[in-house]
Amino acid sequence: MPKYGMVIDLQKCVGCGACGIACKTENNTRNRADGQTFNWADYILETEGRFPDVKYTVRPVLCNHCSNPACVTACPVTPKAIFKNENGITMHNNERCIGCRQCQEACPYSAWDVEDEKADYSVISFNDFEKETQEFYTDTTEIIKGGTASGIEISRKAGALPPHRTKYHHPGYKDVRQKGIVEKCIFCEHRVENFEVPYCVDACPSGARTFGDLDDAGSEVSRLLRKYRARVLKPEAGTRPNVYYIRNFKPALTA
Amino acid sequence: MLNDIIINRLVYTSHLIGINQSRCLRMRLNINTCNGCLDQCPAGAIRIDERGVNINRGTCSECMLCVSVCPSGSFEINKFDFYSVITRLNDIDSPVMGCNLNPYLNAHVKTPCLGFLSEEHFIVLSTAIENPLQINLTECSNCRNGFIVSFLKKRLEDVEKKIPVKFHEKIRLVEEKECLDYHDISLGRRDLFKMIKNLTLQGTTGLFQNADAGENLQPYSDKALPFKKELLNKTFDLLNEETKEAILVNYYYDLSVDKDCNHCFACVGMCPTGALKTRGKESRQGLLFNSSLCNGCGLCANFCKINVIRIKQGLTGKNPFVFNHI
Repeated sequence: MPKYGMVIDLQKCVGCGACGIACKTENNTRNRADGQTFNWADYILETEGRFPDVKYTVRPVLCNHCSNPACVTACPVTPKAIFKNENGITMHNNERCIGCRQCQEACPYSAWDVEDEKADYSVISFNDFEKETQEFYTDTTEIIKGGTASGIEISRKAGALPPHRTKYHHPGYKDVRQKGIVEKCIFCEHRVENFEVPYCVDACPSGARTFGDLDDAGSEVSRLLRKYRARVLKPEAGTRPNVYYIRNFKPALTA
Repeated sequence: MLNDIIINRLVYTSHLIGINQSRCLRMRLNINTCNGCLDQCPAGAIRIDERGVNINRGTCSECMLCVSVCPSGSFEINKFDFYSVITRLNDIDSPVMGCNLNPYLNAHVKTPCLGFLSEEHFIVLSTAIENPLQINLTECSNCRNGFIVSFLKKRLEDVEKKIPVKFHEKIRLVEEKECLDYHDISLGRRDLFKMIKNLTLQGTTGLFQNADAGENLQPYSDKALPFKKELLNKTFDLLNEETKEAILVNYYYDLSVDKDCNHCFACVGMCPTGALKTRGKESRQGLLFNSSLCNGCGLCANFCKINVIRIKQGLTGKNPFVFNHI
């Protein structure tokens, strides 16, 4: 069994945000609402130092698929709704999730409410118990009277898939989530199963993201990790992340 | 599609007890220690472990005690409609209810083993059926499930202590053949067709009930009330004030939350029956609680990280059927 992980080369990353958009289209994640980002792939902007000695980093963030995942420990249901797959992916099962949000609380990379907690991002997002999960696309109010209105209506008229409807089939999770459950990046397991890389990796125009088997010494990710000094987010949390960051946008600062 | 369902249902007659794992308290919360079904099952056929809830179909004698004891309705009887039992018994002068384990048993309505009759069922049977009901237990002594008789007696005694209804006048557990007052209904032409209609109706409802739901596949996030509570809620309006009060005290629950609550709303997700609701992020004013949807399982209090939920049996001075601020 492989152990999947990702290496993100910050020198190659130009901060275009294509990974975020790719993820939103692939996984039909909804718009930011009520302190939840719903961005499985997100990016944050870090500015350090004082002029003229300023260091500016665009840092793509996503679920770290940790080897010692706090979210899995926190999950109260049996069998776990968040669990580790044999291939190293931290999976989420939509059917078993009860929406108690203990994973979100336990995860060091997540916030209950990004606005309240002034967090930059949250890996795990929560769908409200009451509200529709795709409000934006299922809204049918007319903007122009007698004209088409929402995305769903336009796509219906055009005979295309609605914008929130990239269809895929996976036994564990649905292409569109139901109310009252959490959601997070699952490394596009439906694609990985078909020997494709996650869509954010595919979409990255500068090739900053590399996905592969960390256990295979010959894989590209292993080669990169041998070549460069790699860092992970919040190593002090003890979660042993499998998403690594190498190099820096400013070559002079590259360690 | 329709053909497939019918053929599947007819040919592959499944086990009578269906399991809904998503309801089980221990499946929803790994620190919960509910042992109700395991303690009750005389055959030791139930297994609960990290893989889920399972019944050993070989050793299970289908006595239905697990169905009656589970606080949250993890077990249900497949292809069985209790409401139609009530309707059919209501048409008869001296109605007799029995089980279908013995084909020669005298009864107007036959159900799976009567071990499923809970205190709530007795309340409903005594209220919804006009004439005094006899429950035919005359063959139980010859049956592998004979032990259910003592359970039924105990339950009837218990419910009589709690509720001011003269149960011994309304429901009689008949163990001796001589004591049974059974009259076969003579069938006129109309009655025959009526019976055929009823049987067909009953058969088809059984056939299509949960036609799509496979075993163990119900989402944990779906909220559902156990059948006995649903029965009680439906009968509630038919009762007189005194009985209502006694029922509220004995079968309904009240919930309170200390003011230290940090509004994490983990309890809302944990609740298997949907008795708790949030008031939305904007208001941050805490929880709403509907007593008629609460089965008193206590998972919310059990799960609460900061221990601020108090659940107590008995509801007074509140409408059980609406969401109240707590």
